[in-house]
Amino acid sequence: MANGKIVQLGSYAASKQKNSISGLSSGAFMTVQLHLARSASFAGAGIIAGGPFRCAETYQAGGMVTPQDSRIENSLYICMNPLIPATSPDAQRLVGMARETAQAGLIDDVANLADDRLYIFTGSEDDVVYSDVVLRTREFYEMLGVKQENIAYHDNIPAGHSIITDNPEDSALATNQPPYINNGGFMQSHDILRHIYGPLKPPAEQLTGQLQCFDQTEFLGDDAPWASMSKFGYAYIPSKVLAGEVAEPRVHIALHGCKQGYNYTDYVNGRADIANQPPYGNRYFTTTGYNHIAESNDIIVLYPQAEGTDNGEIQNPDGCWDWWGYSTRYAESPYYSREAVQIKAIHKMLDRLCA
Amino acid sequence: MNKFPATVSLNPIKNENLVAESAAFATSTVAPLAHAMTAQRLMQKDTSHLMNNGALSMALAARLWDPSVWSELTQMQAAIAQRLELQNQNWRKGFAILAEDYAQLRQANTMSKLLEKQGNLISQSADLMTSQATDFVALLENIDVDFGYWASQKL
Repeated sequence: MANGKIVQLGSYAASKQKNSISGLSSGAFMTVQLHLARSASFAGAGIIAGGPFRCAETYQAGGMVTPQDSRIENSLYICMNPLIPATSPDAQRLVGMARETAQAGLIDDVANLADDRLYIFTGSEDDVVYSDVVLRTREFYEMLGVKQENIAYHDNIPAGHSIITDNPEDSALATNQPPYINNGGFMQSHDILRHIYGPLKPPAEQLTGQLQCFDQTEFLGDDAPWASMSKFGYAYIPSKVLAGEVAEPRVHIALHGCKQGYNYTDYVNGRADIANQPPYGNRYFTTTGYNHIAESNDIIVLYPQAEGTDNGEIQNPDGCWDWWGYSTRYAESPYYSREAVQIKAIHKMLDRLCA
Repeated sequence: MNKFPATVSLNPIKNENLVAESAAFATSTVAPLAHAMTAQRLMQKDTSHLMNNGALSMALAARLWDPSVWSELTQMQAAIAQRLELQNQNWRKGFAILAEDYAQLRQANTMSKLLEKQGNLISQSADLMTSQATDFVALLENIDVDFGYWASQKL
């Protein structure tokens, strides 16, 4: 654990091209955004229950429906719960938008994606982000030129909306409720990293590295008020990396989903239930298996943290990563771009580890 | 905690300046007007969806010969029926929980416990009603958005 100490995120001369990213739900939507926005920095991505890039902009109704309202409606009813497959996001159109965004210089060149390796998962019992949407994510990447053999697509496991573990105390596999960590008899994080990096050593029995708690606000700067990111983030630094014995260690960024940040507090009847804060806030970065396989394979794991904000201006009560635009302040730095508040902050953390 | 198979609505306010600003606004005379305007804006938005979808439906009439249009319309109707059935199941589950709690009122052995249990029952009833209402409105919004999107693709 972090031993109660707050440290400054360190520099470990990590690789600048062999890094990867994964996430669940809003973390998966953000994984896709970050992967595209900074594709030059990544070799692969793991997407658990996430939709394609800018899917919240799939459909704009006419009349009094503003683009902001439209993005929220799209995210809820097209990118999460479409009534039928035909009302899920249009991958072809979103590919066009991604190419235009790259040509406008807002994200990295999409050609960087061609040799990336992708793990894409949707549980067949997921009723939060439907499988029809996740299928579009696969199609989206294929249309962008990612080789089919580089994509591991799984849709036949009867899992609810969750990251899957083999922890006996986690929820039953088909569950669709917080903390969205379900027991399916295997560690999904290990499958993700093995798919991205190829054969890896078995996970360590004991963690001999450090799980560090660092101050995220130094990476937010003036953007902090609308970033909806927590004060602290976490990073697991393997023992050999700490000892300086690894040349160019790889970094994996693991993004939690909604209601999974360390300081998430449930709200009942519109008020924070501070007397009964859920006890699972640290489970995503301690029990999902990333750290044990990272220890034996010298991979740094970075766990940025989002937090709930719902103050009228920013409407993100569940502490989700921004994939529908709540953090956009300036037209030149929209929520999906390299300069978006959250994407910029997370990439600055990666830059620090690589320095 | 809510025991029903439904989510709760959320509205926390953290920032101190914002709390002061909100308090000042809440006591001002324009607050009811502002709330009415918000409700009006949302109703206008829904009306806009309806008008838009009405126009799309008219235009879609020319495509009624297309089996894919019929097939997907039927799928959409089935999906709506399925969601209504799920909502019905949630209502029945919630009602069963309420009935169970009501039966347990007799086990209270102090007046304060009896009052607490009665209060819990009232709160849980309100939660059930609220979740049913919000789920139903969310389904209507879902239909509005998805039909508009689907019809615009078919034209």
